[in-house]
Amino acid sequence: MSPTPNGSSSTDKVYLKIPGLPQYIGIVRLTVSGLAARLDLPFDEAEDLKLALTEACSHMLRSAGGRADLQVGFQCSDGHLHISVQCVPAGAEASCQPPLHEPFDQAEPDLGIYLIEALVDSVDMETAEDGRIHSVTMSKRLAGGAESDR
Amino acid sequence: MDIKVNTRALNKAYAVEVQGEIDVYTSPRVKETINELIDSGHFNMVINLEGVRYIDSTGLGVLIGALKKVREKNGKIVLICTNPQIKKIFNITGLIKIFDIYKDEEEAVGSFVTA
Repeated sequence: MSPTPNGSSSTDKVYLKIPGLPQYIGIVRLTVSGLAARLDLPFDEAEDLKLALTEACSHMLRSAGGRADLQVGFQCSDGHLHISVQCVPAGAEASCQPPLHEPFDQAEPDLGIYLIEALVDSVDMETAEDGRIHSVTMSKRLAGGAESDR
Repeated sequence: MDIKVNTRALNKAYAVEVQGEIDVYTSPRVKETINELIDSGHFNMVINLEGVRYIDSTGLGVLIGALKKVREKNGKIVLICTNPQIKKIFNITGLIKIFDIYKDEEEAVGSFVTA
């Protein structure tokens, strides 16, 4: 997952789908760490991406009330890492669980959005007609490490 | 992705030592521990974040909520944190101005003695 040596964009995409439950969000951070190593990103950039993506996932879980799965997509192109987070229909097991409230009651949603905007170069949130956020797309310009093929 | 929360009594406050990652899944453990201290009448705390590898807005929310509660009882919460990545989050959110952050327990406890 890296730009080709002549500078043209890569079409490699990485997707991760997790149940819409708080205990699985840590797996998203592990995936970011792995990709950051693959792209040879500086430590600070990797940590910024982990935080921004976790905030986006948490925000969407809150919006979905714990009844949707999350699909996270990663693509590196044009010197940027593009990350998308989407709610997808939950599996049968998740739909049988009671809605989640407690972890989100104590959250600071405004802080989360503020952090996302501070840590990435661009962020776009799409909301459904009922006001729920159903997708978040973020982009961060990659410095140095991702410019050569690895 | 695991978290450990330990407490111990200090001279003028209670130490809350957190190790691991504080996110939407693990933050309830931190909140529960802090609330138990508050319910037991302990309103001065030193929350040690030196063992924290990751914290997000959920974790910050727990700290903010705890600070509000103890202030209602004329209590105080201070933090111990030298991790530049964690301190960066406090800087970005402006919470660096809300929380007193010290580099070690001696300094943190000293803030209660002189208060």
